[in-house]
Amino acid sequence: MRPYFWRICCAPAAGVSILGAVIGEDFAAVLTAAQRGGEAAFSRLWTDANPALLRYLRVIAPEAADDVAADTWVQVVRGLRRFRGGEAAWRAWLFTIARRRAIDASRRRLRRREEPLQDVPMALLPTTADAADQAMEHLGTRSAIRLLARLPPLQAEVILLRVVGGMDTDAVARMLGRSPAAVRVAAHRGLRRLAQILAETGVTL
Amino acid sequence: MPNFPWPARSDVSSNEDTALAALLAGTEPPAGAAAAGLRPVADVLAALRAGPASDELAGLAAAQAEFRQRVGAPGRPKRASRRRPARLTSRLGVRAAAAAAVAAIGLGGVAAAAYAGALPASWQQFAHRTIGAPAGHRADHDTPVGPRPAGPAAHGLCTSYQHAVAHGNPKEKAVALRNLVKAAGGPGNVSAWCAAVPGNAHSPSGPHPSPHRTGPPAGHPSPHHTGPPHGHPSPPPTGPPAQHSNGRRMGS
Repeated sequence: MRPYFWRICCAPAAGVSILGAVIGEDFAAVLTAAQRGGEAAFSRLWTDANPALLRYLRVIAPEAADDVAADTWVQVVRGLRRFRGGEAAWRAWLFTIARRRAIDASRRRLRRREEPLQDVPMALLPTTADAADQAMEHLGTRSAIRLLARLPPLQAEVILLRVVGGMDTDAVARMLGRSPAAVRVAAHRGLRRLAQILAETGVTL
Repeated sequence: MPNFPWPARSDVSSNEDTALAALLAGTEPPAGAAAAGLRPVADVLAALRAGPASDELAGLAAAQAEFRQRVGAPGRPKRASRRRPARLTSRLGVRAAAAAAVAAIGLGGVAAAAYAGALPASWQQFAHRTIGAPAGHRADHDTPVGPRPAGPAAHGLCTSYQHAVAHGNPKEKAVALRNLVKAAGGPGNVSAWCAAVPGNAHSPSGPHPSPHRTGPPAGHPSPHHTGPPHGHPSPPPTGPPAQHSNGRRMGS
């Protein structure tokens, strides 16, 4: 069952996949085929997950999202044959790798600013999201990512992992090394903060 | 837990939490004021979940190339499993392979030496037992080498021997002579033995030029020796040693 807003604003066109509309029952077969060298199966896994990875990375590693995503897939391919688990574990694995690679990239390039973004005046907000998203066709998605980037990093990350990554609270908690309660609180605070930003700026997607 | 009546504020907060949880999970939020107030947030999350844009799929070719290189290619599912041993080999290093090759060549050389009977006695015995190589010096008994004095070659051997003796240099190490000495039962018996061989009776240098053979090699070789079909030499004076048959059995 889809939320009401799905039908209103984002009902998928036929044949267009929606993030979070996961592979589902076919996942085990697709994964096995990919592990045995099936490129079509691997392509399906990639196509399903890469947009989500990119949206996550464009918030947590805005200047290196594409590089980190490519780096993530290199790691995934290397470990693909050893991976065991269902689709939830698969997604958790992908995003865990992406997060580590993003942290490595941030440390290496010293590009990640640690100060809370909401304390920065609007004019000084990083414009990298704009640059990275120039080719993005979905104006709504671009704006949404930009809005998420205005949240405190933990709140934005938790929301993205839950919404884009399709991970549940416990999986996010394990990935981030925090308690499920802390994850839940961060997510809810982030959504309230988002509502506040939307109300203040009058942004509509 | 006591069932306290919740204040209104908590009801609102609880409803909002439920709505937020539903938004995060992507499920239908409960209808109500909280959900209605979160409508703009719901729109943002829906935009985050929207279908992939073209630039988000631009990296597929690179990922496929990486996949082909690391895991395999379509239609060739076993390639990946073949890659592993190859990588393993390279990890073990060329050294192991080189060592194996050296060992193989070395063993081959030893084996060749063993079959040539050129190893030290103890090694030769070992090779004899394990790979059936000639059993060292006893190989002379086991494997007939050179002309057999028991066969039709006796005449030629004796002629050659007598010729050599006449010229003062019998090559005792020559295979033919060795066989002759063995057949005769000792170097000193060769002349007598040869005297018994038909056709050597009138040997010019034979010390016992008796035309009528009565010598020690009784019964052997036959005076009417014309090449017996039995190819196994059994020199009468010495006879086959016990180790002979033993070694032969073990060797074969």
